[in-house]
Amino acid sequence: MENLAVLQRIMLWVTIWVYFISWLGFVFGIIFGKERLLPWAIRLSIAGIIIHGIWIIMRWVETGHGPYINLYDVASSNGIIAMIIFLLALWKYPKLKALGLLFLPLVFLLMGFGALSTRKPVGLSPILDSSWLVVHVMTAKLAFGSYLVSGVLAVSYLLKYREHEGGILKWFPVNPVNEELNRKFVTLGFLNHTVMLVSGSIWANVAFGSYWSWDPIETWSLISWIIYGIFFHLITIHGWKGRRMAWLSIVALISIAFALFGVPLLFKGSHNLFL
Amino acid sequence: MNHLAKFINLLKSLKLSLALLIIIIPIIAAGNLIPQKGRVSPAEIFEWQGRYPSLSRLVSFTGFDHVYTTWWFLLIFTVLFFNMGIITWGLIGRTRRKAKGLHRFSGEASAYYSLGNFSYKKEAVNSFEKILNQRRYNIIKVGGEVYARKGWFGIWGGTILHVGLIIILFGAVISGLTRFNGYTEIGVGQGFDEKKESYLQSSYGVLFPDHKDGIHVFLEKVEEKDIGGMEAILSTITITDSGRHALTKTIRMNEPLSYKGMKLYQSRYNGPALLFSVYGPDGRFNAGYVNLQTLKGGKARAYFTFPGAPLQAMAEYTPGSEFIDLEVRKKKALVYHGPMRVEATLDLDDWRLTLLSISRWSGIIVVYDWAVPIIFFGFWLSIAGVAIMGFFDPREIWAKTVERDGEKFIEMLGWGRWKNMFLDEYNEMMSGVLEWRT
Repeated sequence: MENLAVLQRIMLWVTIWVYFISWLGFVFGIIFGKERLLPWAIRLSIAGIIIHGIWIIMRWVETGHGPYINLYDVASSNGIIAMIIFLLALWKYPKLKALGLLFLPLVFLLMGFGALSTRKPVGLSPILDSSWLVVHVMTAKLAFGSYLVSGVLAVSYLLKYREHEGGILKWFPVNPVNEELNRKFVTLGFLNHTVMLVSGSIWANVAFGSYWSWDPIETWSLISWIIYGIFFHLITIHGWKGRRMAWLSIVALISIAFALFGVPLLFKGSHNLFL
Repeated sequence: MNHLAKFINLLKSLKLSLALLIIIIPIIAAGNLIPQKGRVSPAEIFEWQGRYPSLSRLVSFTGFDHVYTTWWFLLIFTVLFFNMGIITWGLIGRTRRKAKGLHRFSGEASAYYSLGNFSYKKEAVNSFEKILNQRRYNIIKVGGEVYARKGWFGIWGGTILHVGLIIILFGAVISGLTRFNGYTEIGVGQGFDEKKESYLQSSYGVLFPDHKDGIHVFLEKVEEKDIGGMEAILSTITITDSGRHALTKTIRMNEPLSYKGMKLYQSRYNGPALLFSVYGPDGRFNAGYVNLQTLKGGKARAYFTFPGAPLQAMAEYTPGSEFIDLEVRKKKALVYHGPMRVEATLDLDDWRLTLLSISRWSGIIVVYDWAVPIIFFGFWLSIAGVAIMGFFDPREIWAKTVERDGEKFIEMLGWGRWKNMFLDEYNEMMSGVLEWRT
């Protein structure tokens, strides 16, 4: 088991480095015009996901549970789901490939941040012995990954707007498409976010008879859900688009990142058992 | 416009919903930043008040020390409930009209985009219909007009989501008014009548119908078991109703017990329980459980007064041990300090103390909440609504033949929830039709 722990740690850093090298591929491909490197950058990202998947299995064997307990596990597992969503998005919308330039650093920095935190296995709470766990955790990760893609689309929109579509920014998706894809990924995130909130609520009701207890993560997750709800209203009814929509998307993403990683560090609550 | 009309207009405005949602965000965030009564220990609140004396006075005055139960917080939610209800009612009407189709006549025409206006050739129309068919548009022909729809079920997504949210808010109000939540700690072999006085902590909705008479909860057994690497607490509970055995069930976290609208949950708290008997100088006999709280490091401790005796005590117990460490004081003077085994007796002045057993206690949560099914129904509707919004992308094209200066034209209007995607698709489709233009 000791060897496995060392090996999984090495694997995690290998994954982070593979993503980093993949990002360099995007940097050279887009910034320095070496376009032939772009397919290799994508292939390296796929390789990174495979190594990352092996890491998850090793970590699972080492701890005896899925990667959802502490920051070390959560950051990394959120990273792989975000990468899978990003690559699926590339497959469906090849125009998005330039976003690797912005997306990959977020993933490997997030993983690095997690990798530097404690990785000590912790005692499991009996509350985790529930089939709602899978739904709750999985949808949380899917929501984060989808929102991350939408946030990156919004950043690319703002960059492109500022630079008047010149230089390297010609690679980024054109504006109407950018907006629509942003909206699509927010919708995907919002669906998963809703299922996550609902499953957490039902689970809490089954576990201790309270479907809502204003726990800090619960509260901040609701706040970010409301922010995304406001986002939908503003873009559909009040016709917000362009820069305003992009900024709103970024603010909403910040609220999600805070709910996921900031709140457990700042507040005490039932989710602290897991993070 | 009179005040009532203004008020009604305000109540049905979307701007009010957005304003309320924006107000709710900092308020519920404040509930996390400021220690809340009943959610954190009084000591923590006291410490916070000491640190911020002026702020704490303001917080106390405004009710920010119990945000989630203040009248103004409930008022905000009530206004939001009515606002959302009125808006959703209108939304249902509009969606129903849209669902019937031809909704250019339903006041929605402003949402249409003019898609094109090209001179008519029969082949162009046929070709366009063919392309629409290929793209899985549902084509409806009425007279000389052509309607093509796709993902039309998607128009219901937002409506269903809003209906779901209203049901959740309605359920939450019912729950808040009628819910009971109680917590108690009982030792093995001990029971309690299901009534208000039996709970260490409890909270009631103002419309909670009283506890049912005759229900008795008895703790048969408490175990700690390793289930998949998790230390689960299992409590075997027997319920008797009017003196008759109703049911026996072992509860643990995620596996509660239900009986006549009452639900019993295993809390995360348990520990050693000591059963003492006390004989007084007048021959009176008392017996009672002392529940020890587990400390860091595994030891458990309790400070208590012996039942019916003027003796204060501190008992400490290490799990697995056969004796306890007991310290007894009478009017602050130490009268005994030492170990005590099970069935051992201690004579202190005129009092005889016997440690009858060392068993375990278990923390039990009892909940009555009739609104949970309503809330969960709202949850499922909300998910369904968002899913429909996500998976169906409603769009509609309306083409009509008009004649101007003796020449036939096709006028086209379109509507798609997501305008850019819809226009992209439309332009792609039109590129296949262009060759048929005159």
